[in-house]
Amino acid sequence: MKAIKPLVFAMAAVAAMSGVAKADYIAGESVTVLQGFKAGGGSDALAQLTQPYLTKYLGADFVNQYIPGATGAIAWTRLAKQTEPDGTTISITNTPMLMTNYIMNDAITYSISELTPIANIVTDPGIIVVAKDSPYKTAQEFLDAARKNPGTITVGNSGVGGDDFFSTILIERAADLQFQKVPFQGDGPSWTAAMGGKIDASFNNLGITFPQIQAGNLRPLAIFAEERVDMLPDVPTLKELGIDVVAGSSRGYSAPANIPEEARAQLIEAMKKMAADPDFQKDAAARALFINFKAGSDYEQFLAEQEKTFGEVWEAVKDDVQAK
Amino acid sequence: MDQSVVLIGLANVLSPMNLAVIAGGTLLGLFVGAMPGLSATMALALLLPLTFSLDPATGLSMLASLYLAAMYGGSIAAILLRTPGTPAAAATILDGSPMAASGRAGRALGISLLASFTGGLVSGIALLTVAPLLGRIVLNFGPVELFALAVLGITIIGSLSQGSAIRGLFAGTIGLLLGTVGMDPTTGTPRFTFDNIHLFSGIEFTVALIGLFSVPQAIRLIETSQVGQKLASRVTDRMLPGLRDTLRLAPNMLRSGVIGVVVGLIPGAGGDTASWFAYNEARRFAKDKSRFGKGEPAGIAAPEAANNAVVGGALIPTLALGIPGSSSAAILLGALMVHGILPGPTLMTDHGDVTYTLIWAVILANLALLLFGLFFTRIAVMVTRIPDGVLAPIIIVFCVVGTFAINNSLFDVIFMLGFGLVGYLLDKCQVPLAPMVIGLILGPVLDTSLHQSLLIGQGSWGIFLQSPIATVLLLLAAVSILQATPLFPMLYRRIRKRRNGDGTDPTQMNKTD
Amino acid sequence: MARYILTIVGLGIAAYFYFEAQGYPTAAGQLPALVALVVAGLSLLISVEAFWARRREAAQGRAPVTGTAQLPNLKGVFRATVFASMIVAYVWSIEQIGYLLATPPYLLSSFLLLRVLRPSLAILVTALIVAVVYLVFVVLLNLPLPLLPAW
Repeated sequence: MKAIKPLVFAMAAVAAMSGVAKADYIAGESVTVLQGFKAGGGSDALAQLTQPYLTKYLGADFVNQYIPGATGAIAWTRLAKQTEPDGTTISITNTPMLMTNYIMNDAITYSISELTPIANIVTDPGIIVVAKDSPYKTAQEFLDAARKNPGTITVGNSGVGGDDFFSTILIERAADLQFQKVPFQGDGPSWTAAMGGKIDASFNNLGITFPQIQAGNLRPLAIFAEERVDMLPDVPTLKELGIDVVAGSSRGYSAPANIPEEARAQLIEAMKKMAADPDFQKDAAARALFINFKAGSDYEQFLAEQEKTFGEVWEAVKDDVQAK
Repeated sequence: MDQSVVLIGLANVLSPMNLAVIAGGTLLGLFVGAMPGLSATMALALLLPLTFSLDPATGLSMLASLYLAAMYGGSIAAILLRTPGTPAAAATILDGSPMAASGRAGRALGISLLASFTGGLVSGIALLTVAPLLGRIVLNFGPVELFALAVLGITIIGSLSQGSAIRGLFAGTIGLLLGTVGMDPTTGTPRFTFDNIHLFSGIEFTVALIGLFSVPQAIRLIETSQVGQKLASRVTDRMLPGLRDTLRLAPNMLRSGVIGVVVGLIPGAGGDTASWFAYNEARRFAKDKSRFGKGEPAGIAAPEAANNAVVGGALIPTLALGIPGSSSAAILLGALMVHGILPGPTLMTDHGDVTYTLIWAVILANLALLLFGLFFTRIAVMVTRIPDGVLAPIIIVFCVVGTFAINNSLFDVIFMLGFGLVGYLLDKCQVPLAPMVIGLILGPVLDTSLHQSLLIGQGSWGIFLQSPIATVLLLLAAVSILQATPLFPMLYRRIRKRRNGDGTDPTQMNKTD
Repeated sequence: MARYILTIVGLGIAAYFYFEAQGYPTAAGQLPALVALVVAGLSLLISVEAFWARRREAAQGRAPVTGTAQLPNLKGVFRATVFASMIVAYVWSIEQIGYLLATPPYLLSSFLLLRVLRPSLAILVTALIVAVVYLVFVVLLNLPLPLLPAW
């Protein structure tokens, strides 16, 4: 009888230790991730990359639910308005789609104020690419040509409301240029058209075009990042060329507004650990995903800034874009 | 091409795990294809997460064999139940169903299987040998060429309208109109959406197809369940065609296979249109066009060869360039990306082992299809012994699940019902539904590529003539239209009269329409 | 008769699309407006064609093939209507009470009301189908079907 007490203590100690070693998510055993795009796409790529690590650091399983449609609006509307804010459902949020959906469309009713941003994970910087036999060998030549012939240089983007569309406009405004914008259904068709010489250039994203750049089929002219990237050391940034534009497409996780503070903290903590994990960093680099980690309130601020920028830009150009 | 990688791929694919996966994928694909309401794209999207834990080549082999088998499986439903098991099989109904109704279901299924096998093999060989070369063709297809291709596709609508050209065109243009529902790519304005975000991305074509074909068919089964007759209760006739028939169909199957490869190759052309293009060409080259629509073997062989060839065709740009040739190929690409294999030219070089294992898997899947197809079809035919009244509600249950599974959206199910009602009524008014399907597929393509082309051409319509490919396609379209009008027979008559010298009218001897 | 209704419906659809398209930016509205006009034209042609066909057949003394001259299969149409309404009710009920609770009643009532199966067999088939769908889609493929009522 007396031996039981230390035994119980020992068991309790073991239990407590295993409890500490594997942090259990306070909201539950499983987290549902709503994805606003089809399986196998860019958001899914992020999900598949991050979720094994998150399971380890958070102590919960992740289940992906694909609800494509309206460039993510269906999933995000459901997240913002129809999801229990108990921390068991989150979503992968992409910018600028997250904001431009409702900026450009009155029928879309959610907004970032109805969400709890958890963390941004990756940002794919914007890039200008041309075909390998294009007459433009440097960014300067390209911009000069655009200046000499306003409105005639055809540039592709990933669609109205996408990151390339807005970066094109931001560049036009910053450099006082005019391009002929040709929208495509995504980054893929956009760079394909550039590679085939059907358009003069494609305003695209680095991660997506990198394999073709490496193979020599596309020539990068400029990158829309703060500084030059290691993968392309010879490519100047727009800032170096005198155009103060930093843009790209970012992806991270968000939850509905008003989730329990403890859950939010745990989610952010797990993501921080993941971002610091060297294996994760190596994995991401192998998939040409550029980590740009912004946690909690940083992410919230980032989203608010972007919402403001895109809101202004759209106000300025919408009459032209939607000319009657 | 690096020989060793090709051989490594072959060795890989012959491993027990991969072979098992190809067999499993084929069986699953046959089932998914044969079941109305379930589509290949849906199955691929649902299975994708399951492949993440498998090694890339294995997972891809399973998906690819499923995709291929489903393209044949769809024809089983098309022939036996008069409803397409998958969108690509919609063209097979035109001749497959009448042939089954006249008691030759076995023959129809056999032709379909043989054609599917041939088409798949053609594209598999193309994939193995000339993929990088063909991949380059993709780059020549920009918005301008795509528009011309869409126009060519629309001219097919006229030829598919059996009976009344006007009603067919009516259905086709309504399909076109419905295709414009959704956010406009140039301005971002949501069109005809009643402010419902579920319509912002447009009308999901598979949902419309299930609604237009499968739901009315189920209702019709109930309506005629005591009056009508089973389509086929037993396969009494020999399934696979004999040597003579095979040789006769061979040119058709090969040509349709090539069409399938080319259409699958071009991203954005919509793999499902390949079967229609092939059907149209089979009709064009046939001596007796009037037999089409009544159970003409060529009318089954053409679409089936083409839709299986699309699988390999769509994989060509996917593997050679990293550009998916169809939405199903995009899922396969996604499977690669998740394993950290980036799409692009490296697929053929650095990751050549995975790529060639996949290519060999596609080729082997064709053999699996032939083997399992025969066996599965005989089982599937037993389905027709089930009383119509039992089959109909079951079909509806699968339509509901299958439609929901496409986008995880209950709205899609409601939408499918709406289309079901429309399809039923239109059928009662003898309006052919096939043209509406084409209009739905090509409407968005036409709209988007038109605007893109005009933007590239700075508003000038001459841009279309600046591209040789586009010009040729547009000329083909013009010829197709003219062929349908009285102009051609008139000219033909004039020319022949002059040549014959006498007053006989050669066109009276063999009426073509 | 059916053809004339078709014409009216076609004209209605065309009108809706045409006038809606007027409110959209030019690039967005051009194609729909154009196609809507074509639809309108074709709708009219349908009636014209039906009219001429009937006249031609009447002139030749033949019974009109177009239209509804055949005796309608009343019993069949009735059963079809019942069936169609049940489908509508089924889909509506999925949203209210979830897939697992909606499907068995639908299948059972279809089999029994239309009198195609004995009650015992109906129950068996229903159970089989629901089990297959559940196992394959929900368990194996993780399909997020709304299984149970939302409350």
